[in-house]
Amino acid sequence: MTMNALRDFPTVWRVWLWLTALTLLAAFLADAHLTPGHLALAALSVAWLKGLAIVEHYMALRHAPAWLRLTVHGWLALVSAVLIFSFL
Amino acid sequence: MNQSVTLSASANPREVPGDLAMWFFILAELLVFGVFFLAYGYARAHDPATFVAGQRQLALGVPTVNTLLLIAGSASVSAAVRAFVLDRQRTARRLLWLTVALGMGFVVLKCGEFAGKFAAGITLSSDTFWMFYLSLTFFHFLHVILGMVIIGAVAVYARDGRYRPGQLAGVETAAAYWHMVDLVWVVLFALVYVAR
Repeated sequence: MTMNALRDFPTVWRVWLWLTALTLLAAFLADAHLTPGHLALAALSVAWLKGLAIVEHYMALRHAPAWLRLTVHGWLALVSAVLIFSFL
Repeated sequence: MNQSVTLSASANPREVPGDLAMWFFILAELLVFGVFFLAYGYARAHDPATFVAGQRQLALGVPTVNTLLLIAGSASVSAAVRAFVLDRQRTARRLLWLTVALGMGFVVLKCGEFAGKFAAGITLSSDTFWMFYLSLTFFHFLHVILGMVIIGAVAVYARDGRYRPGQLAGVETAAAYWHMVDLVWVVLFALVYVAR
């Protein structure tokens, strides 16, 4: 982790800004008069994007063994996709 | 630590950040929350009217602020790990306590939200939506508290300078747990509060 952590140091705050912007976007979408299906698609897609950033940059799994990285990404993708499907 | 020397190393073996046992625990937690989420989706698909009626009673302001608090907590604990890497002990400890404080903000706001629901007569048996809302958010709430305890414990242990470059498994493990709590909330926020 040591070398990877140093290389990623400036990324921490950029990712924080990205996640903050996506959170505010999600809150905006909630009042955007979308159909339930479209709102669920938008909200859960935004959640998936936020999850990607958390997994890759904060959990630092982009530097982790592939099995661990794929398992967590697989969880996020499966949960997001099935939930979106449940709204359609 | 010589940062230029460290950064010049190009061949990094892929490493599990923190303790492998904690990662198995995190994967088990994700599995439990995943089943919970899918059960919510299944129940909602079979009775959308009940869920829509319940979700319309949820204000979006507090959960949005809570999301921002957890995200800021993830950023601060990530920065703490990197500060330990640079052997900036004092900065790292302050960032850990900042994470705990942000978690405390989440807990206070969440308690207010729960109190409002209980005052309105909402219980687990009110209907299917409120059963999921209360059980899912309270289960996550407990994880936030556990995350705060873990991060706080690491901050206390760090006072003796045990987390040095190359000896960061403890702090990385605590950070991984906090990020898991954040990751689950990101999905929960979208599912329960936004997707109405």
